[in-house]
Amino acid sequence: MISTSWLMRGRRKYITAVLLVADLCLGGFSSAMAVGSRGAQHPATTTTSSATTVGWTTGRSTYDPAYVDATHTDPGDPNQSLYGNLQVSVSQTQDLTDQGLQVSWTGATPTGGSGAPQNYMQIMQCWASKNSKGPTPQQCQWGTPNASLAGQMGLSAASRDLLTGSQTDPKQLPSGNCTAEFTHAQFGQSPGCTVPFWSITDPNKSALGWTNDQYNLPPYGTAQSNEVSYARTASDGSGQYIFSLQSALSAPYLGCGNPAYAAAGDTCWLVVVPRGEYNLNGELASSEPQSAGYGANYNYVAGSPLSSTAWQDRVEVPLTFSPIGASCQLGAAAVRTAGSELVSAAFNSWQAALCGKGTTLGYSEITDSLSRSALISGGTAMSFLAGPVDAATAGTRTIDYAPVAASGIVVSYLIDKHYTPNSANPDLGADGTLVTNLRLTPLIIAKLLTQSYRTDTPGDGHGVNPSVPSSNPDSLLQDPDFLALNPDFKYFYPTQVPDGLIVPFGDSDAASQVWAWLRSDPDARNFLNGQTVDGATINTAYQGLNLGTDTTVNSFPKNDASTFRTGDWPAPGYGTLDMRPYGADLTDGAVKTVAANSGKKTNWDATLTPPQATSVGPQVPGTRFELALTTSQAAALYGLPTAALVGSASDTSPGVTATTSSIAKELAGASVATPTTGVQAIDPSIAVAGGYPLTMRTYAAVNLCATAGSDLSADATFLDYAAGSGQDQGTRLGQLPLGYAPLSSADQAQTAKVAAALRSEVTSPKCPSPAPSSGSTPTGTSSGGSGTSASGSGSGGTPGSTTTSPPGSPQVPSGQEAAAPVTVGSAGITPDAYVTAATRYALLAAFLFLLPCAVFGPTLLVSSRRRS
Amino acid sequence: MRSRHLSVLLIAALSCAAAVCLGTGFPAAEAASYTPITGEGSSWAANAIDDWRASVVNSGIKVNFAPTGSVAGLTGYANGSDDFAASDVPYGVKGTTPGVPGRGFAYVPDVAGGTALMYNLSVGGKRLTNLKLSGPTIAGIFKGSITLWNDAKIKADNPSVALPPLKITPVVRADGSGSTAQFTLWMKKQFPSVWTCGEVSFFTQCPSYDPTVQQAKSGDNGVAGFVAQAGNVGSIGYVEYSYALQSGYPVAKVLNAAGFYVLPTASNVAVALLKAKVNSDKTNPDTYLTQDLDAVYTDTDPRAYAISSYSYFVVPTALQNGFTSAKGATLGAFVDYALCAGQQSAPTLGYSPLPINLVQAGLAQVKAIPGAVVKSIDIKSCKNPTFSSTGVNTLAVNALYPDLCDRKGAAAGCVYGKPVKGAASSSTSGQSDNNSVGNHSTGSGSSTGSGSTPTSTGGTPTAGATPGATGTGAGSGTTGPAAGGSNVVSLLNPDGKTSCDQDTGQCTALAASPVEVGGNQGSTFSRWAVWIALVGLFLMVVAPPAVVLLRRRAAR
Repeated sequence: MISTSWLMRGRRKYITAVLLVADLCLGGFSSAMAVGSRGAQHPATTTTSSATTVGWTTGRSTYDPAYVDATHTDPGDPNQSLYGNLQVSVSQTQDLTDQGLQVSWTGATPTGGSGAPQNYMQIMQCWASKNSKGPTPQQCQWGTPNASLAGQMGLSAASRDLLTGSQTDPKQLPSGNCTAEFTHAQFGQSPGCTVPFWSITDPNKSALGWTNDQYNLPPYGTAQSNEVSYARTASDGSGQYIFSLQSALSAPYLGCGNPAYAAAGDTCWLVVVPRGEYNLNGELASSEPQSAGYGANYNYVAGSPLSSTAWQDRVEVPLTFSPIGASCQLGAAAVRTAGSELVSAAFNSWQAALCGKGTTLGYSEITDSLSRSALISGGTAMSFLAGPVDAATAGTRTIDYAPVAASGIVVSYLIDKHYTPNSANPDLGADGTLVTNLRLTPLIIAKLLTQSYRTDTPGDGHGVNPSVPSSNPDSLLQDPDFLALNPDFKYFYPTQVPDGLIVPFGDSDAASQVWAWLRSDPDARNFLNGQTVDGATINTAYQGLNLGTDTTVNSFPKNDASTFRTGDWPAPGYGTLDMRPYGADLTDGAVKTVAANSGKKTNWDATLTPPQATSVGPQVPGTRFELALTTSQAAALYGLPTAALVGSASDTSPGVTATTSSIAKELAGASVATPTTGVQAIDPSIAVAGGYPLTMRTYAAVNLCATAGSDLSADATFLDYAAGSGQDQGTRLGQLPLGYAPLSSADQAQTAKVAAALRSEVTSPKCPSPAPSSGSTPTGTSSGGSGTSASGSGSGGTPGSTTTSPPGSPQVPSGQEAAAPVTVGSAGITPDAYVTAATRYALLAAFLFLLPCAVFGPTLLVSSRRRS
Repeated sequence: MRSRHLSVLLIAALSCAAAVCLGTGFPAAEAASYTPITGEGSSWAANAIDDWRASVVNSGIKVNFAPTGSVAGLTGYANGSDDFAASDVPYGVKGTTPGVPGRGFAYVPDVAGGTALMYNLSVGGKRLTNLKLSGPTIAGIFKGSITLWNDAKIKADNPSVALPPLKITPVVRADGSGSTAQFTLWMKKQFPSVWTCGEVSFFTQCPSYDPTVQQAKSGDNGVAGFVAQAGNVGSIGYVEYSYALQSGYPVAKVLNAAGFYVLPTASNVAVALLKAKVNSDKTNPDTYLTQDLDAVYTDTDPRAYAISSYSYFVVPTALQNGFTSAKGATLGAFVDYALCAGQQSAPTLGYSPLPINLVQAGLAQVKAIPGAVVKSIDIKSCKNPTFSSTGVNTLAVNALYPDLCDRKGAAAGCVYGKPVKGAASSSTSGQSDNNSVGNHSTGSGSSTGSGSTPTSTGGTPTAGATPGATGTGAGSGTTGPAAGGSNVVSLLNPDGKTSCDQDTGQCTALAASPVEVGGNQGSTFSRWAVWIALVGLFLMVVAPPAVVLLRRRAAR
């Protein structure tokens, strides 16, 4: 036996001491890391609102002290006098993901002119190294502009290139010559002078200069980059832009939301660079002569925002992202659910939380009607739908309905104000900025949904035998109803028409609700019934569809079969589906709006083999006009504004948009009982003050006796979460995403009750024999058999495992299981297999601290016995 | 001396535990970061691909995909603008698809499905949902030689329906399409006397294409979108079944070689594809894993849906055209997911999950993607719903048989309810069972009959499928009432002849493999490491006094 004295003798005592110290140090490090990783995983932030406003004078924290005086301004920078009152606001700065971010500003100098001559904002997303005050120009996604935008800007103003010679920025290249760190050798060309891009994924990161950079070009292109080459300021000094923020899922080279980089201390930033009236060399841009070498737009502000003189004027906003990807194990056995897309955003958020708790559910988006079929046939463990299965189909089956989500169907839009130079326009100063206020009536939406504007029909209604009477307005811009509600549109260029109202393919309860709402409005109903209302008559192709009376319509028809030939188009030319294609679903409508690309294929390319129709591509920024029917949660995610609904064109009220409170009011005031117990419909014909009429309540439905016990347990866990912390609204994973309204307490109680009923069926089955066997779906088949007894002695016995199963593979029961045997002791639910980094470090720390006890404990005991 | 050895052993064991902590704890603490990837192609498979794309987001994977059509996908991949492509047809089909690209590539089957004939027809003011069509009639319709719905040939297929004298509007694809290629190939091989155009991907290139007869639309979305208009009564188009399900419009029952009109359900497609010959010549990557469907077309199983096929991913085998090993890691993980757990949603959407032999061969191809994390790709942890302990496709085995009323020549007033075999039939009048989402697995709790197999179900497994029977799984629980997770597996094949070696013979080696073996090895290992560490800690506290006590006792 080793004794203490043996360890202390001779040289051994040094070895012992060194080992002991090393052990304790490592233990201390581990415990520190345990605390640190825990902190990293659960950032101590509040999620109520992380919006922020930064004043240019007071809020800039990262100006270069070398160039500023006591008031934080650089007397040598003539542009800075233009920025003194600038305030930049960002709608959200925490728990971010791939989403739209509203960036707005006030107190700026109006842009004037058209395009980007001077006085505009440039917006970009950047990363910054650990312990740095902010990003360097090399760490920003910039320099791959849309060509049509760059064409409306000064020389290099949209690029990473640095100006040299007489145009040089003295703070950047004092000699006027390019330095080695910015010299970019180009194959077959003279070397360029440009700011390199440093990817966060580059192992050498900030140590790299351009010359030894493995990336010859930035890892992104025009299609990937979210840079805003310029955003204009209106005459009142304000402006706004919907910035498409990118997580590491979309832009790994910025690393935002990648837990490894967050843990390493790297950070993410939004950078807004204001541009004034002076060039980087201090000369007034508008006074530059054509001979000064600034190219076509020679009197526009020139030079890259990454060049020191422009860069020092930047406003920076730190951003934190939700960790990406860590939530669910790829390919894990999952309890399959399916149904309406109205639940998908909430499901994804909740799934992330539930995966961490050991319950893995999978979700497939299918239509409400397919969801009802799945419910009856037992194809899925849980179905999501807005309306119940009708009584005849349900028969004697026990189907439990639990409300899980409430949201709205909205008209989202992305419209650039592109005004004719008409001085009568009171809003002319806002030319080039985004429309932020739009009001629509049921009648206008009915016209959009029935191709009753002439520009929504092939040939714009000017072909032979047009299906729309020529007395109908050409587009929204000529519709007196629309212009009465939105007078600024009178001054739009008449060619800037929307690609119709983008609607989803397929049938849905949401579509039924939209038609029910239109039928409840007298004007819209009369119009759908074929009457001429406010000078417009329904497209003849829609007259036979009885949209004003048929309550079974549950899709958005595109019934105008006329075609139109132009240019090289062969017979029969293009049709409705070519010029106004369907979106894949409601969410796709928001995606198409953000991208300003409806996917229309009205170009005929005769040079292809064989000649074929090709996509027109996205609308050009500055003249965008997209409208789409989408969900309130998709509009919120993409940062899109949504139209306010008003009753008529003479309505002077601001109207109602889908908000948490307007949805809640509608649920409270317009819910009506259905023949199915536990399911309420929303009757849009009931007038609810302040209620949003296109509100949808989505149910989870379970066919009790056709669902395996293990699936019921997982369903119950999901429903408990959905009725509990899943209703806390916020931007974090696990919370109720923005755009949804929290359920009422009555709805939550109903859901909790259903969850209890499902559990009760697991523990004491009441379903007629045979007890639901988990073989009813392949899900059950593959999730493995296991005990459902309350003893919860474990799960994951591999069915039929004989020889090939490695002994380590079954899931090991954890302490949590013992505590909650009912919820986790069944197949289909992965036991809490997630060992966080914090836990790992904590275990190691405990081990290391206790190791000396193991070594010295016995020896001390031995020696004490000897001494006694 | 003995106790001294003991304590040395103890310390050694604890050191091992510490090593385990260090070895697995630290790497696993890093979250995997995936580089986004971009692909385009098949709109036929797009509904499945979109489902998979949405499912992997919470695992940190972003996949961009545009359903531009198979030909555009193959072209985009070949010229290097895509990281991968999706296509229903391979490269180099003469006159149909682009030639084999200069860029390295491999085919990976991704999902199976039926090319459905979605139609819009009313009889007596009511939407017809029980249309039956034979192959030559279909070929005649799309050729334009059968022009009216009350044509004698259509009447022969539907003796009891008062078909209207309405013009037929065949709706075809305007873009380069793999489904057009599969559909025309079927007609060319089966009805060459009617369909003389051969196999094409651009339907509009057929001499028989007449814009006043056929309507050409872009994408499955465009074809289905046209047929699903109330005003387009009389139209019929070919799309993947999922698009018809999305729109709620019916699809035709197609006559098979056994003389039955059947629907393109997941199980009927699975049955038919048991007869697919898969090119198994690994030495030729240009054709390896491509499909020869001749025997599918002529399958005499009464359940087989003749126009069944599977679609492919085209994946890189070399780092070129901007494809990096980081992208390879993403693509490998995504395709692995698609072939395994991703197949679970296939029947729900309107597709048919891939059988084990194709998954196995496909996963081998995935491992060849440069950068793919090979060790995490393991067929034993593959959650594909068709797998069974015997290697047969459970979906095919459990497919319900068609109703006698769907037999060719059935009496005009036939009343549905009598299946060819078993207690429940796969089809009833109209579409009521048409779209039973999910699987036609027998004995599901909702149906009264127990289905096609005479053996009893409900947890009385046979063929060694008893869960935990051998007890090798540590912690295997009590065999509760809901056990028998594999009772589907236990069903015997009523024919006794379907097995996966009719495809290629490739699945024999795996015939006895279990359905599932937990998650990936890394996470299993780290789970164990935690337990070893916990046990080690416990021993550290308890063992030293115990050892000393034992020693004292021995000393006395």
